Amino acid sequence: MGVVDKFGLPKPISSVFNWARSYSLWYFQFGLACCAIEVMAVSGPRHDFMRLGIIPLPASPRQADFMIVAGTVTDKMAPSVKRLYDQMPEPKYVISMGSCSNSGGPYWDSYSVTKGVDQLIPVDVYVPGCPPRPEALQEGIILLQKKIRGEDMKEKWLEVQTEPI
Amino acid sequence: MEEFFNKIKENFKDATLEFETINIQIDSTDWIEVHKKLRDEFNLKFFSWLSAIDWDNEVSVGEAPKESVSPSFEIITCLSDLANTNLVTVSTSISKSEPNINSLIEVYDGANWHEREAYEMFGINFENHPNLEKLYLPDGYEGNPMLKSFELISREVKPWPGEVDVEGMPEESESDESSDG
Amino acid sequence: MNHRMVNALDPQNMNRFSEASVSVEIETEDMTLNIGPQHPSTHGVLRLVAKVDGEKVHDVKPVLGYMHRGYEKLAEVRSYPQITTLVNRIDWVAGFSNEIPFIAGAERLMEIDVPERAKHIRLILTEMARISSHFVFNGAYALEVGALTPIFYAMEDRERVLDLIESVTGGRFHPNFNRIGGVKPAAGAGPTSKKNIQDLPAGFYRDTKVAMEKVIQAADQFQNLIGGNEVFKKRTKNVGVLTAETAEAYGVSGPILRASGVKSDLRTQTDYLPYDQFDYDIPVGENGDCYDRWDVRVKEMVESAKIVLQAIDSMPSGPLQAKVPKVIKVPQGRTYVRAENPKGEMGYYIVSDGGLGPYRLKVRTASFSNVSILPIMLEGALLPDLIAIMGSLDFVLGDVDR
Repeated sequence: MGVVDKFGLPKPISSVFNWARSYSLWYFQFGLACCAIEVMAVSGPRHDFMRLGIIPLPASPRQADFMIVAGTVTDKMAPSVKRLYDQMPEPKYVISMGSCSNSGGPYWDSYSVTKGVDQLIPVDVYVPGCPPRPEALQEGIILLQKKIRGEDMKEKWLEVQTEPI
Repeated sequence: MEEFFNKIKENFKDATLEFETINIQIDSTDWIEVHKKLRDEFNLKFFSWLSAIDWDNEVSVGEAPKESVSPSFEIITCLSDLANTNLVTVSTSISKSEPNINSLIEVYDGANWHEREAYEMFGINFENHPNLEKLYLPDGYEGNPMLKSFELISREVKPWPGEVDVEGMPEESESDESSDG
Repeated sequence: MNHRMVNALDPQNMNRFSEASVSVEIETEDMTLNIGPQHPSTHGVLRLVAKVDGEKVHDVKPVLGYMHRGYEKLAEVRSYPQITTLVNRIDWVAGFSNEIPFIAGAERLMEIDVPERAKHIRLILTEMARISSHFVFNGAYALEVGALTPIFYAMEDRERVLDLIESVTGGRFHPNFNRIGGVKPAAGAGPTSKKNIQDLPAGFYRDTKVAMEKVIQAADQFQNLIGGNEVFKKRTKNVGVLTAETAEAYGVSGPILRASGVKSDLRTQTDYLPYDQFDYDIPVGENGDCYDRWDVRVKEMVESAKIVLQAIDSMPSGPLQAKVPKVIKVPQGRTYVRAENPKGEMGYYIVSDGGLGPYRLKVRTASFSNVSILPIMLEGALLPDLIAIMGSLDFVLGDVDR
């Protein structure tokens, strides 16, 4: 993408691209604990998130756009989280759902819990709650969509730091 | 419950019934025979769980025991009968310096994973166990977490401020009988 | 040389061709397949290391510990009301039913009498938690066997029950509604004074009746839609048979034990909840295969709905919480309390020394013993059967790893 690095994209084109990207997200579900049941409830018929453009369950992380880390991350699971995050291609985003993955949550003093998933991977949106209500998760997704729509492609390509596996 | 307890008391001398739980205290050398007897004669075929308690006077988490105890491990199993309400806990004491005891695999198949967990959490060695290895903790984890001398590092760095009393609502000052905090 | 032209399509020759056998020695090696910790299902992060020979599974080794949060150690540094908030995250699908045996144990050691109205409310909420857990099982099990629609039906029906729980307690599945001595007196609209405490919300009886009727209809629909389906029957009948003796020796409890033919339900032995005032059946299976385990759970949903309908008709009036001191200190003693969770038998062994928190709390969970029979049940099974058998055990990783 040498053109984008050197000259940047003009505003009308980048706003069309960002609009298209924000409404066709395919998320990689990292449902570990109780918050995974809330994610299932959000994908159910009452609070439906397919109307926002989110589709669940890609076949593998290599086809996913963003990742919802829902639940407690333990020290034994931490290498898997990092590895699966690295397997996702750019551009990728992370939503950290629930207080266990925000900062350790009710298990902050345990001997086997990682205090927050942002010690391993960069997080874009934090959704607080234990577990967060389905409406709170929907607001988190809408915030992520707003963030994607306001992105500048040139800056995003230049700040890529992780090497994909 | 009473007649079952009387039957148990005839066969084992150290049996107590408190708070609706029957407890039998035995020596660690009789561990396997007593379990065989309970399984065959008293029909207690359901193996519920096996675990241990660490009795120690110096604790680094929680509160120390009120009366001083001699440091030891207490191993407890719980057996029950599916046809009625009979339930029994069997306990024995082993020393902390040489924590060895026979494994219950030959009597109950289900003791396999429970003993692996006790080995990993307390460091107790079960003899004649087919594969005594870690169950929960990642490879390379040092220490046995459930011992009273194992510290929780997060609490050392920033100690818990204690139970903070929640402020009552302004109109609640007249009625203060039932507690709901 | 004798050549004979044989007509292969002639029916008389078919038998001869099928009897001919080719014997070629092929060297095969077992492949180690890692069914890794992350996979999209309700169970969570369970890892199975399976040795497969083609499609047949030889040896399965479950690797646990990816959700181990250290409950027993954390319980030693917290006080009794704080442990209540921690404990309902063990079996996270049916949150309310984890708190009940722990609170009952503390009340037994303190020798408190719980008022009748509080016991009835606790029973209603426990049965609703059981219905909600079985809905999740129904939807997710059909999804694993291959049907994509039932999970949406199950989620919609479950939302109605969760709405009811939320209107009483404020939380969908981690309510924290129990207090030592009873349940929390809920505040109605207006200032909380003694006269104005409104415990159950207005319209609760009417909404519950409507919701329970719909639960019974939904269970009927599942029986026809899923249970009558030929593909489902072929995938689950005679798959994963478990005998009653193996189940007893390993400590397996709950619907799995009842599907193997043992009529044992701990609700008949629970004396801290008034189950003996109500009329209900205990469904028992015959063969102990996956179909029976699914069938027992669907029938249990109907029985729970009947219990709730009887309970709200006969609700006594009275206080919601017994008088307890402001700072809870439980006297010395030890006790074991057990209850019938939706997944099986759950128990708490509390060793108390007279302090603010217990000296040792041992949590006996149902799924830990249920998962320990996986290596035995999966020997010689095919790989798709592995998924069906694992799903029919209905375990949750918070229960297994604590």
